[in-house]
Amino acid sequence: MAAADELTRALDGFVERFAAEPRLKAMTAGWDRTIEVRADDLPAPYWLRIEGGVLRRPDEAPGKPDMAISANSDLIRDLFSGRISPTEPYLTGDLRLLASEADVMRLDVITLMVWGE
Amino acid sequence: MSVLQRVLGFRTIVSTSAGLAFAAVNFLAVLEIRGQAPGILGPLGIVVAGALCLLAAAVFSELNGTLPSAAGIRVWTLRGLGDPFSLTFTLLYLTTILAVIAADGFVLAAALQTAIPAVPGVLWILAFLAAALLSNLRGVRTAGLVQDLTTYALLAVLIIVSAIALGAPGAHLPPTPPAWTGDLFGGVALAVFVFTGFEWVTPLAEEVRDPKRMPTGLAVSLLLLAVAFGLFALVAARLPGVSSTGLAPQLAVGRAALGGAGFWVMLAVTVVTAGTTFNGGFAAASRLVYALGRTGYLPATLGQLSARFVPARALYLLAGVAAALTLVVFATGRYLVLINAGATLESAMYVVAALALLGLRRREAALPRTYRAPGGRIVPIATVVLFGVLGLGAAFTATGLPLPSVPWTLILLAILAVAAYGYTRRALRRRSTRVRGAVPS
Repeated sequence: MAAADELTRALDGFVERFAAEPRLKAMTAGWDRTIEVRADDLPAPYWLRIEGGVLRRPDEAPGKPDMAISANSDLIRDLFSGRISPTEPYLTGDLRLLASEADVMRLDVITLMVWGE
Repeated sequence: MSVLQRVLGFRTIVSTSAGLAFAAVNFLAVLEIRGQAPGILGPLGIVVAGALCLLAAAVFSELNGTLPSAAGIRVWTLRGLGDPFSLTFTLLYLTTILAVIAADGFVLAAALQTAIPAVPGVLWILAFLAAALLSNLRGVRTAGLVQDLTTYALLAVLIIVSAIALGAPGAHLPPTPPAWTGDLFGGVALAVFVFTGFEWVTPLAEEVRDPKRMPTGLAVSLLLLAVAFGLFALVAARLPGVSSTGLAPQLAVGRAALGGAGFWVMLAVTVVTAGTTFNGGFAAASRLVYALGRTGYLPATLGQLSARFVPARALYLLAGVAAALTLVVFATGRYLVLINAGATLESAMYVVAALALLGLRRREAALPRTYRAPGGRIVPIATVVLFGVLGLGAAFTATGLPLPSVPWTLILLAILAVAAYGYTRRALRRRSTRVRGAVPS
């Protein structure tokens, strides 16, 4: 089980890498979304907000989520730190995504662009 | 459980489920059912098949309530039955989607050629498939309300037109044959095809407001489909001349109900139905192909997205295969094998889903479930037995191909299954080599 601060570091690292990739800003322009990230074995959820092509990690819920990601804390840490691709655990059912299909695919591309193939 | 900002309500669960099952080829399937189960046995077969599908609805609802995933059948079979079986069956499942698209293309072309003989059917097939491909490539999504209205309108038109046609002059119900049980069984086995796809709504459960309403939504969808196609089958049984329009019985029923206007109304129903089947079929299949490409089970090129975030290469491949399949069926007129294969695969799908459910209950008993099929193991076991027998019944139904005693549908499906299993073995070996190769020595 990953500690809460490990998840925070993984998410902050993801936010930094997102900001460092200029193509992502163009790609997510107009795609404003609130994402809830919930580890099954940790009490509080984490939040990500993409707005105007900028990704940030607010401490509080910025509103109702458009997408919700849930898995155990180890998987979420590995996912946001680029150790694993989201598709494999998604297809095994270990990673659960509540979102429209179009949003799921866009999130998949974002992770690909942040971490590469 | 999080509550998303945009979610699907009960009305959309029902309309999506019914809309996915409402295919133009169902009209031809009703004709085939009439051939197997004359008189009242045809419509009765549809109602019985719909009632039996409630078992499958309970199975899918529990699977979905245990592991809600857009990857649906792939996740459930993987967790419940293991990777080799799961991948083999997922590939066969893709075949079912392509078979339904091809059969609908065939019906569409036959109907349009009947109405507008000056334009060859081949052109209609290519035009509609191209339009569906383009719409998917551009990422066009039908708004939920439009989708709801379209499906409910299609169901309402079919029910109203069929009800009016019941009173058409000259209509009479042929007598029930003395040894009717075998005929009814044959009718039920084929009638499973009419409900093909009603369960495809379950992968959308992640967007559903209240997943606990999924079983009720599926039951309402089955009821609507059973009423609509049961009535249509009753008209088809009572009207001796329903086959006079060749491969477009729905046009004959429309004419019997409302004259020339009814003919064109039912043509519009056929066009809209086939259009939604093409669109929905490509969307569902391309996402699955994309996911398998991304994880290395299919060639990696199929796991690439276009600038519009759609799996373009998967779509081109599916459209190409669907077009080839449709043109072959159109040129040969041998559509029965597609209906029989579709009915067999759909029954097999329910059997596999029930086995996956039993496997999941045993392997991962601790997983939380938002819904549990009633009656303990009765529902999944009854699903395995009943749909196993019905699937075999459909596989042995005559196809109109030469050498009638040869079970062509079974042979075709066996070839497909062996090919899918052979591919699965190679794909799993390739992936395992790749993973071992990635580990530093």
